Amino acid sequence: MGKQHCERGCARRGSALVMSLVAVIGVSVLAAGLLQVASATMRRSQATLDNRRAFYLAEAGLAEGYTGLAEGLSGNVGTQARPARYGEGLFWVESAFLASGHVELESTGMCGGGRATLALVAQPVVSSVTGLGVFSSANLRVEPGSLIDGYDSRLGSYASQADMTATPPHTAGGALVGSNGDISVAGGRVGSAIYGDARPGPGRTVSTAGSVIITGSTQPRSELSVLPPVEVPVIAKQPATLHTGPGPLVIPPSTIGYTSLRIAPYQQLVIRGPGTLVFDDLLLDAEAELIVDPTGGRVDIYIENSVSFAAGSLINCLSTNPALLTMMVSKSVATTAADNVLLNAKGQFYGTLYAPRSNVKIAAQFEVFGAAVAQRLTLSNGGKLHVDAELAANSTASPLPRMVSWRIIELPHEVAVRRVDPFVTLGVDPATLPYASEAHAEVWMNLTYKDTLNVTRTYSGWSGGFDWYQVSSLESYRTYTEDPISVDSVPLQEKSSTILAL
Amino acid sequence: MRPAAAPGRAGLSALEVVVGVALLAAVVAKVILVSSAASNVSSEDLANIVVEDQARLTLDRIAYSIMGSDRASLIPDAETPAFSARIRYRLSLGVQNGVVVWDDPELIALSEDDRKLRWFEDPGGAAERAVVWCDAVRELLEGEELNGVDDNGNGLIDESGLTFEIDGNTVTVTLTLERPTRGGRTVVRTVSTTVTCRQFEP
Repeated sequence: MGKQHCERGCARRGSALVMSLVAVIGVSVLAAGLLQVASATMRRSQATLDNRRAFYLAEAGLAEGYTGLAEGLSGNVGTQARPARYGEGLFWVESAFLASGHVELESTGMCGGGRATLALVAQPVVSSVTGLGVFSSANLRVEPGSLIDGYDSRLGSYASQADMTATPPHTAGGALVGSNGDISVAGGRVGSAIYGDARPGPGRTVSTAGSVIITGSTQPRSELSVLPPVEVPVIAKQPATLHTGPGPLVIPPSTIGYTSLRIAPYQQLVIRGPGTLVFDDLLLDAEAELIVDPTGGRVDIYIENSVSFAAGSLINCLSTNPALLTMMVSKSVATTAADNVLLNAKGQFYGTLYAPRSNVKIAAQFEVFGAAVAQRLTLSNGGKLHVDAELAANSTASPLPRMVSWRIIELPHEVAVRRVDPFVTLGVDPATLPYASEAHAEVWMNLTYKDTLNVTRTYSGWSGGFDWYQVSSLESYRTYTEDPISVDSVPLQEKSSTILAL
Repeated sequence: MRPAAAPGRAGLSALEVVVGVALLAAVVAKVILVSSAASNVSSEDLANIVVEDQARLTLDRIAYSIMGSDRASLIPDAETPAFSARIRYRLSLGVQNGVVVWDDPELIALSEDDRKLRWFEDPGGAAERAVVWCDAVRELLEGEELNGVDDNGNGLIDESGLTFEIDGNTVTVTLTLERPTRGGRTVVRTVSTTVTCRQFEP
């Protein structure tokens, strides 16, 4: 009987178990499904959140690098091996100085599984006096047959913007002609034209004689413009050189100085950028040729005494971008003294001429595209000067670099592959990482400044070793990635009074 | 010797069978009802999640595209209260030889025919390419009716399910998605964001 009872009872218990199991499994499957959905949703939400955080971290990196540029630093913030810590993530910024003078910042932000890389291109050097266009601190004289107009190098060549059927060809406007003194424009029989503004100094006048066209304002300027002096880099100079050939004298990208360099007739001087060149005197004899090639990087030519390009000499600029060439003359002469900058060469000069204490004469064959600023400026009969609006745009009073491009770029491969905690991915300890403001790469600085007692002082050393609290005003600075005495290097940024202008 | 149990005792009586079957049917019915309800809830939750997720993802894509553009390149460029269901823009590829290089124009547009949101590369050009970013965009923004009146009180009249509004250097993007669930309901989600064009006119 017991056996029979067990057989019946066991059979009933078994069926209940099966039913229970079915119910439990059903509920479990439902619960597991819901859990999986919730989990997947949470993962996606977290991934979206992480990506957004990484994006904003990368933007914070760009902002930090941009701030560094504005302070004269390189724009590098941290490195992939030692990034800057920020919130729950990290970032680092790599900067690259482009041949065009722009700086590209590439910022990578990482947070959780999120990754983002952004790039920004900025123009770090902000000018102030190129916005003056054609300017003289003393009187400015325009001889008969001269033409001054404006164009915008961003929009293409001068020829594409000018009315080439006119005689002489010219644009509709854009000239910026100014002076702290008077402006005299002689038209003569052939006539002179300024397609734009011609504004004398406060209380001064514009006088014309003969056939003269001035399409813009002739109102006096509201205040005097102070032209800061040229600060010439201290470079050991080679002895005076007379180049007589054979073959051209080629100066490769470098920082180099000559006490005097004279190019004999039928010889060539080739200057390749990037380069910083310092001369006491630079002379081109008749039929000599100066070829400037700034396509590889900006060329800055400093003259400490005089420039003489003889009539019949040639100048040839291989780039039509005026921002890539500057000629700066530091010599101080009386306004009544003879011209110590004589530009009688034939050719087109794309760049900025800055001679705030010198007297400059530009011949008719020396056609300037860019800007020309001098103590006394004379544009000879038939001279042509075309003011570049791009240089003027860079002359805004803002001390900040000008941003020109922003974009989202592809993640570096080694960063993109492992979507785990960024500190694990990079193998770094968050506790040892610097904060963003402490992660800027140091630069070598050559400073001239006035301290709190108004005494002019200089500093040459790493940026981390300088106490900015002792500065009441900054007259100039140059920054380098290395000590320029030990390593021949081109400045990262120059904000000397001169370069401020350029 | 005990008499052997009657053979009928080994099975179930008719009454037991009827009661058992009734109980089983009740339990099964309940399980089915619960499962069905759970499934419906799950389906609706899932639909909510999917629509929300898709809306956010699409909005992020649009936002990242527009923030890389420059304000001057936006077409149409009429400022708010004008609005549009499409926006054409261009992105920078960086700087080469001192000049900003621009990519081919791109277009984000809502098709009125199939309510699909498409991204176009080089629209109208020889190399035009289109990618569907979202296929569940509502004809009109949530709360809006096609009646010439601002039903949802956002200052816009009869605006479509994808709306771009430009204000200075910023673009506000509003997107309403709509997707039916298995339970016959319709899930509607509206998301919005405002982005600033990071690009600077060279």
